Amino acid sequence: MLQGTLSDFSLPDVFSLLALTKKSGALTITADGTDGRVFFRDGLICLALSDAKRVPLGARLVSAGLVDAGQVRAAVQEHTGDSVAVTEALMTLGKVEERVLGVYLREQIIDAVFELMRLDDGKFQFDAAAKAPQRGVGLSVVEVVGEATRRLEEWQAIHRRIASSSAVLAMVPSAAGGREGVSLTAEQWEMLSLIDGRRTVSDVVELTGRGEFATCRVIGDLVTAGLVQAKEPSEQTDLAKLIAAREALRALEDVERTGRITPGLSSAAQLTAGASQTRWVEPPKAPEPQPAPPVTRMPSRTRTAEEPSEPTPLPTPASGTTTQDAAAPEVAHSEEPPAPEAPLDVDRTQVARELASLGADDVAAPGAPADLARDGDLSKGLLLRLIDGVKGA
Amino acid sequence: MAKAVARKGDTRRPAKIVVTGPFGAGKTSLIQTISEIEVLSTEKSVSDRDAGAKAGTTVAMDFGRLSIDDELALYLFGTPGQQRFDFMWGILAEGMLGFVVMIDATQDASFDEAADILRFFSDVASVPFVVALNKTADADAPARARRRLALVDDVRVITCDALDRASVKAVLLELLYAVLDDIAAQEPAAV
Repeated sequence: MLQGTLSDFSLPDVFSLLALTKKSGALTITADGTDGRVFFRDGLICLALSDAKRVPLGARLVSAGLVDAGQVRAAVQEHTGDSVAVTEALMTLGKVEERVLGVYLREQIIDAVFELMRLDDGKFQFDAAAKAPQRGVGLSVVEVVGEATRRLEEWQAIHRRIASSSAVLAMVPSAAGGREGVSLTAEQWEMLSLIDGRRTVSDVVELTGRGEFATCRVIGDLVTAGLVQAKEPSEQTDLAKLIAAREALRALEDVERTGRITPGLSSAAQLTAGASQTRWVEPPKAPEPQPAPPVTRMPSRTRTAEEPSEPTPLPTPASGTTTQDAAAPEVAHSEEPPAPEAPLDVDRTQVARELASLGADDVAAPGAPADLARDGDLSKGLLLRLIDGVKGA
Repeated sequence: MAKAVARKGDTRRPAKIVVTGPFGAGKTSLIQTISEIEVLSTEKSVSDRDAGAKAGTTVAMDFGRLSIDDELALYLFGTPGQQRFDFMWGILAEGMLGFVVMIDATQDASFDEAADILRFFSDVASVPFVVALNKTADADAPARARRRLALVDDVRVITCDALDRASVKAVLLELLYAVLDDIAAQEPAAV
């Protein structure tokens, strides 16, 4: 049996030996907290997992809209604990073209080898009796190690921009684009949609299903562009500071306006509570089922069990454009399918406020929306000026 | 017409109008037509059932401005049309003096969605509003819309072309006159 330590033999050396001897089987790499596996078929790498307990290919295929999350869960449950069987099952799902599947599988293999090659120490062991996938791509060691090495070099630059995988990601309240505006690729936009001021780098990597390198490269670009901050949990992002400052200001405004403190009540909710009249009357009859009562549309609402959870669109590795269906994080081997992420309406509201602030700061007068908090001093004279102004516009 | 450059450090008194309505009703177009600054549109490519209707949709807001004088500016906020972005509606509604409900008069479904949106805005803020029927010049359209939406008589309903500046000005003026009437109605009657 071939076995040893990574301090004596580097992974590329071990790979080369297995390739030269056209071996089939599985090379297991065990290090602190890592249980990776690289599968060989006649000396070619046909599957690699940086964490053998997970099936990242499932997340990739779901993210790309090639299979649905339910199919992946069924495959995982049917082949619990057998990465190869799960992967082979995924290959037959959704009528995915062999060529398309090959692209995702190649990305998966290189991502995993890239992560394993970052290990400083650990043990390896080759099991020639282990079953390797009998279909799918077979990549040469030269190709895989070459691409992983290139990524390792780029990773150093990415790492400088993103402190660690535990760093919290937040959009900056004032974008660096100024009057020129901000241009984003579809890939960057999709990434921004997952950044909510609470999720960490590793959370976002899991959600995208695209692997650590590809995800962190986009995040790194957003950090370099001055649109996103990556801060350790102990540090406060500019967004968190801004929200705290605005909440404090809002509390003061409420005290000034009402003479009392109304903790936990949003201004929208206060508007609702204060609404004394309406110009809207119910239609006499509705041909369609009636929508939920208006109160359920409040920004801070909690989604009910009957409502479908909103899918988070995810990018595809090939085009970077949104496809469809639910965001499935990496699927872990488990008897129970992973629970869907709970909707975070508070997060969405924060992001929405942040976007509103960005718009005002970049395009018009800084702080304009803050000045628009309430319009309580309308007068006839002001209206007449507005009317004259619009007429002459 | 050349767009004016936004003034940094603008300290003019802002007045706020919200332009709301269903997906694809023409809200962004209306704001773009009248705004003196390049409208900030936070649009995203459409990837779901609405994909056939148009390429992008507003996901956070549209933001435009019309200077009134040296001390006053009218700000126009367009809401996202798709209901899955409705968490933005309440935020944008804060402090508005009134709102415009845009409806694509050629799309039957637009009226159903408008009814939902009207209900929301009427509940969170008791301010005047007008209904603008886009893409139609049919003189009977306002009456039909009024019946369809069960609007009370004092709600103004007009036809408009969101791409025509004069038409957009007419919509805004209707709303401002409605707000003026509202203020007058709240004033104590002269003895």
